[in-house]
Amino acid sequence: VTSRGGRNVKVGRLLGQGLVFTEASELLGNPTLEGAFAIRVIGGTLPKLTERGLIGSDEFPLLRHLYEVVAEDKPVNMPWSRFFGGEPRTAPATR
Amino acid sequence: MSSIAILGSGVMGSALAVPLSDNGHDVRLVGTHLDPDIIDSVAASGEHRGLGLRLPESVRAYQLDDAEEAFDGVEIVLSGVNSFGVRWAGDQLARLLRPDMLVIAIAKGLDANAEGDLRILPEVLAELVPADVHSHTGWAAITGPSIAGEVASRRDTCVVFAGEDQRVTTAWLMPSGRTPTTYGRRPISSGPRCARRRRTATRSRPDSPRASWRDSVNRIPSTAYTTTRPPSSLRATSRCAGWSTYWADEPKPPTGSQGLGIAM
Repeated sequence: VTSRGGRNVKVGRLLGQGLVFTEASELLGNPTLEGAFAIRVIGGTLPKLTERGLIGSDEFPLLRHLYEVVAEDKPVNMPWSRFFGGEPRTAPATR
Repeated sequence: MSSIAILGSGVMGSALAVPLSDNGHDVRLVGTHLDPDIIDSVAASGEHRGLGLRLPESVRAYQLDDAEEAFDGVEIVLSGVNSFGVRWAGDQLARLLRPDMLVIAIAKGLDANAEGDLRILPEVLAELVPADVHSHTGWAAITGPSIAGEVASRRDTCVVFAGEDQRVTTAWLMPSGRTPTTYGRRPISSGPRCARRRRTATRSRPDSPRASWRDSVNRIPSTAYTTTRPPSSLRATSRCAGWSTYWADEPKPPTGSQGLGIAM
């Protein structure tokens, strides 16, 4: 299946090892990466959809980060704390 | 048996020629303008270098210049180009499609307009075909979770056909007369045939693990696999992929993919 041997996953593994997207892609011989292209297309719409008020600026943190990784060559730094609506700003009161 | 033209002889389009041909369909593989060498090779020996194997002898290879001949009288057209070639393929289909043909699109992905609205690529493909032909053709899509190499070498895998009109997905590949929603060369569910394979594989292992396992897999009858009861994991995968998929043994859901404007 694609999650085990696909080209996008191979790039993903390299990204996880610390390479940036262009380095990872180059190392694999710059293959056609439809998944990465999809991130570019979909991620590229997020600022527009946010501006139109269709989505919130705190929504789709994973996709926004993937766009930074693929389109802006930023290192992977998953925004875990922003997933699922984000962590509470203050720690819950302990009893 | 159906006559099927595959437009694009890249790895996935060509890989699908294998199960289609195995199922007795008349398969015509048409190369794009980037594929003349592939087509020459397939025509000469069946050898497809991208896949690293020989395609079945019954697969006929056509250069793009002969596409009209290849499309003559086919019932089903598989658009076998990737997402970067969708617009090119749409332009080709605009001249090659005839009313009553069914089109299955391979390319996954989304297309965005300047305002940020998204559409699935099969819609982009269909839109390029003139309205008078478009309205008399059927449109559907095929997606993984298989990869081309697995499909071409007849490994256990599966693909999902999806579409807004179930008549299209149903008309596609129906050797058994049942309603297929998934298709693969061999069973992938945890049904009895799959269990039999596991037992055979285990028994054969002691002699020479790898070779015996492969032999045991190859002994499985290579009939078509269609089912109306795909594994739940496959349903979940397909839904996550955002296709407007539904299954023949389930009631049709009221809406399609949310946010993509697909009405079902």
